[in-house]
Amino acid sequence: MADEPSQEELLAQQKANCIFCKIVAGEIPSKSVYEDERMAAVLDINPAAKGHTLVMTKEHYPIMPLIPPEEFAHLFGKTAPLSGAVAAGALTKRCTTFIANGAVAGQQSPHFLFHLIPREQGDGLDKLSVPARGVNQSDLAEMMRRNLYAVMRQHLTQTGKLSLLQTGSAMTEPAAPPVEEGQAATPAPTAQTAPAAPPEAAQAPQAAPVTPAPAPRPAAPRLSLDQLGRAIEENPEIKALLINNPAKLQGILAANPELRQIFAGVDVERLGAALRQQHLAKGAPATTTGEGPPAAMSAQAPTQEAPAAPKEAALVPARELTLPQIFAFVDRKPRLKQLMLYDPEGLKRLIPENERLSRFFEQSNVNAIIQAYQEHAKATHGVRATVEPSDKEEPEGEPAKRRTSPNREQAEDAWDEVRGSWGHKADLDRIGRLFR
Amino acid sequence: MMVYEDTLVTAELPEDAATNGHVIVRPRRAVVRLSELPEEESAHLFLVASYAAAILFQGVQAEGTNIIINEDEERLTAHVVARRSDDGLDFRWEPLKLDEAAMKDVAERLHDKAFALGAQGKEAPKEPTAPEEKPEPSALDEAEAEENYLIQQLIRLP
Repeated sequence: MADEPSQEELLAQQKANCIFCKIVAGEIPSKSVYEDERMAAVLDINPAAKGHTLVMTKEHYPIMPLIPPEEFAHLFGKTAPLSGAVAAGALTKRCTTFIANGAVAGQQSPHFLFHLIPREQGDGLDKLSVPARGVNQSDLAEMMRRNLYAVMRQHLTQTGKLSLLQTGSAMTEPAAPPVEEGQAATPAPTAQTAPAAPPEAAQAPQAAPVTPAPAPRPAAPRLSLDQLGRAIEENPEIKALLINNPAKLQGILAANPELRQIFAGVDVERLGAALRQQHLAKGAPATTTGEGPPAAMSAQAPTQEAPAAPKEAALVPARELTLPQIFAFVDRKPRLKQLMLYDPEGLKRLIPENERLSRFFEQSNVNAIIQAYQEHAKATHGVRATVEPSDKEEPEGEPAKRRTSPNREQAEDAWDEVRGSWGHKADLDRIGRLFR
Repeated sequence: MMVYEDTLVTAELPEDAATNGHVIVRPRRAVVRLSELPEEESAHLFLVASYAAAILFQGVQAEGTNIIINEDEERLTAHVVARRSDDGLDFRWEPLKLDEAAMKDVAERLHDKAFALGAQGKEAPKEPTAPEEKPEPSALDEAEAEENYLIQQLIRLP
């Protein structure tokens, strides 16, 4: 899987400066506890307790989800006996395993590692216990259930361990159709291949940034008609197929149980006809490009016959939206987001040239919006790494410069950058693939 | 509230959570110590915990996550906790001052105990039993990938 060049560069740079890579290589002295071909465990020089051990892969992975499955299985398989050895070596029985993901949680190193801390009565480390604070999180249940099931199902399918899911209990989502092995192994495209559809802000402003779907092939949810409507609005390819080529869509449905389930009970031909009418009524041509986030931004650039994003869906100008709505809108537009974060000047130049952009920003304070969005992005995900352009989206007239993330203040620690990607929506999609 | 289970582990939301975004993952095998788990089950426990953590990042806008096993409960429990800068949680410890001799001594003792892992490590090669069975992507797969994308987008909806 080809990662974005900028990310690779970043990683190379990070590795070159990584203390723990040097410890693994023996360039920095350490007190080794355990070592094999893939992992190393050394004493922490700032121990919470005598025998406090750091455990790491030899290869440099900035964050836990980036560890490939085989390495992951080895590292955390060995963790079990290693924790016993650490405890025994420290003349105790108990051992705390402590993992921090992200600086807020206490991750200090861009080389993912974790702590094994021998424990004993009265060691003063009670603060490592997770407090019970009576927080009610029943709201979280459904989201967690759906997503955890989906990612695990995908992972287990891909590692040939799907049988682990057969607990015969209610957990295995009844709605889940059986997965054919071959299908599930298909790599998922990144979220960035998503066409930056023309604004649908009015129709689906609250399209939940919150419900992530980490797995490319999770169990299909049952959609209400209303949800189906929104789903279609949100998915320009499907909409375009419905409008332009319902027969092809039916072909796809026939071959695809999950998608079929989503459209269960829906007359695709009629729905297509209705949409076509609606579309024509808006005076918009139903033809557009399929692959193209870029096209969506460069307003009128219809390309081949591929199915695609409807161009002229109602565009609500920024001045009529609240800030959160603007954020939500920009979040759904990889190109626009990219420009806002990395190349505001370029964006400002582009606005007068681009019909949709100029309509969107009409009578608005562009600088203020950009600034507010940058702050929003910083607050939600850590600024950068918010956008990673995919290979596919290379719009005409847009130089490849964004590949290298322009305007990056070099010095600013590279780590922030990678860590920032945690918060990015696309990350969970990628995680599904990374874990294989 | 149970949110996931398979033949090796269960994951639930604790009644009395530490924060909005607290998942506990337990092995089905009734053990107290992590070291009592077979390697495969240990790896699986952390896998589920790691996925739960990844979902918390997005699902409850966590800025970080901790995965903590303290071995101080009746059943071995991995706590996955969403973290935010203002969450009032604090798991940081004060480092001990140990002199070189003490460090060296403890390192040797740990190394002696852990050394045996290397011998068991012979099983390691068989560890990745299934992982690499996915077929090479073909043209057919690409067509499917396109469909997968559609589904992925649909599922993104609330």
